Amino acid sequence: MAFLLRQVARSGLQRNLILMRHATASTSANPELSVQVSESCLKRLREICVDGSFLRVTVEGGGCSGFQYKFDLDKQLNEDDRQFGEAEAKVVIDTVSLEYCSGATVDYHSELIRAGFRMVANPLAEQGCSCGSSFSIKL
Amino acid sequence: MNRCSNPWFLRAVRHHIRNLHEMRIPYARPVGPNQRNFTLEPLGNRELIRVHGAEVVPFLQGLATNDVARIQSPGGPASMYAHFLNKAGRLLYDTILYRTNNPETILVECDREASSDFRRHLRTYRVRRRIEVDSVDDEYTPWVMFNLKDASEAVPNPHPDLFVSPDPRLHVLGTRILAPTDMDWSKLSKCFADFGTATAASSDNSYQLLRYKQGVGEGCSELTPGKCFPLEANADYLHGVSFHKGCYVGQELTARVHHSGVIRKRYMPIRLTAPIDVGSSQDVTSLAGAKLGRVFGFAHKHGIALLRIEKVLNGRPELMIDGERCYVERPEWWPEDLPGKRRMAFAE
Repeated sequence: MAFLLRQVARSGLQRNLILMRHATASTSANPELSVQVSESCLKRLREICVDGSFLRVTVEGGGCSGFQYKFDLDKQLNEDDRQFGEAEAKVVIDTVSLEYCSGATVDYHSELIRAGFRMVANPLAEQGCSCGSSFSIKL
Repeated sequence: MNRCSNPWFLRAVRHHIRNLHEMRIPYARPVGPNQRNFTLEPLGNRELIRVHGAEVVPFLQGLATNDVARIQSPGGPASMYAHFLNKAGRLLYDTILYRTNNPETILVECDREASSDFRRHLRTYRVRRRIEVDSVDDEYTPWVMFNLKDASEAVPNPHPDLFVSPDPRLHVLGTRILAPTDMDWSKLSKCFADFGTATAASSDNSYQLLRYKQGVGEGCSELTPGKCFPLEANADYLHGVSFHKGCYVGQELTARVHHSGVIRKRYMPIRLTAPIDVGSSQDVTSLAGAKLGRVFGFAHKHGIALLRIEKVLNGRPELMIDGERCYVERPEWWPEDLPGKRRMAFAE
């Protein structure tokens, strides 16, 4: 049963990607698209989102592998936004960007060279570039 | 000793010829305004695409090999050469980007055969930006004016509906003119009547032949999509790559090869002694039979081939194509000191 549900979800994702790639009519929000939010991300968001702001994730074209993630703090919810995480530690992604990273996990990473939010384990992403901020879509 | 194959001798001869040409200049009659002659040719195999939106510059900046921000800056060039690559760094589309009066609009000239795929490529990377990508084939047609005696002379714009820009790659390739589609050759040549006398292109006097003599590839029949790298297409020598801009699709390999890698092959002009059989392999070999490259286009005893630089330049200029002899020529517009195999970043 779980296997069948997964098959349905996968074919739905593929259909959405095909629609997106061919730039046909904009697709309505698919309720099965979602992202996970890691505990370290929630912890960090609880620290910085004290003024009612939330983390906005956007996918942009560009970067040396084709697409890249953009992380911002925002207070304005738009009509096409989807919310994840907690009430006090929200992650917001617009439906278009969600098509490119559904199934991924929003993470907060701290290491000597850099600390910041990042998207990990994106099942729709192929290899990224050496600097780690750019990815290409599996076709 | 064969003096023709002696590089010092050839360089001395070229130097002498150049001096002789310079000495003639003070005695030449000044060319009056109506004594200029040039060839005017429509580029039927090129198509214009309009990319419009508030974020058009960052959008194209993330995809093109050249620094698109320069084209919109005050005093920036009217046009620039740029390649669009796949994520593996291989050339997909060779383009010329044109600045327009609207800062939110850039016209992109590409191969007609590749236009549909190119527009799809642009829309793929648009994601959520409000960028319009449309062909303006029914509104504007690209033309080229070439064969001016002074190739670097600036061509004035005689008509408000025209857009005139020197070719951003090489002066000798002439001047690009974007004209309304309903302008035919007669109307367009009349627009430039004050500048000089126009001649129609012919089979032995054409833009394609000029490109082949110079060794400049264009379009998907010569720069096969997904098959070569921008540096093999001489994009660095043709001012088509910026190594000082931010990320763009396919950048990693281009930058890596430029800074620390090896460019073994480049497109070069060849001079043919016999017509090439269209069905033949198009392979270029040395006299001894070693394969050195492949021909990608030919017309009227001239052609363009992707050749192994070191073997071709260091050996004899004679090569073989399908059993017939031909000669490779080092383009004059290549840098004087061709760098060795491994380029050094600090030498730039």
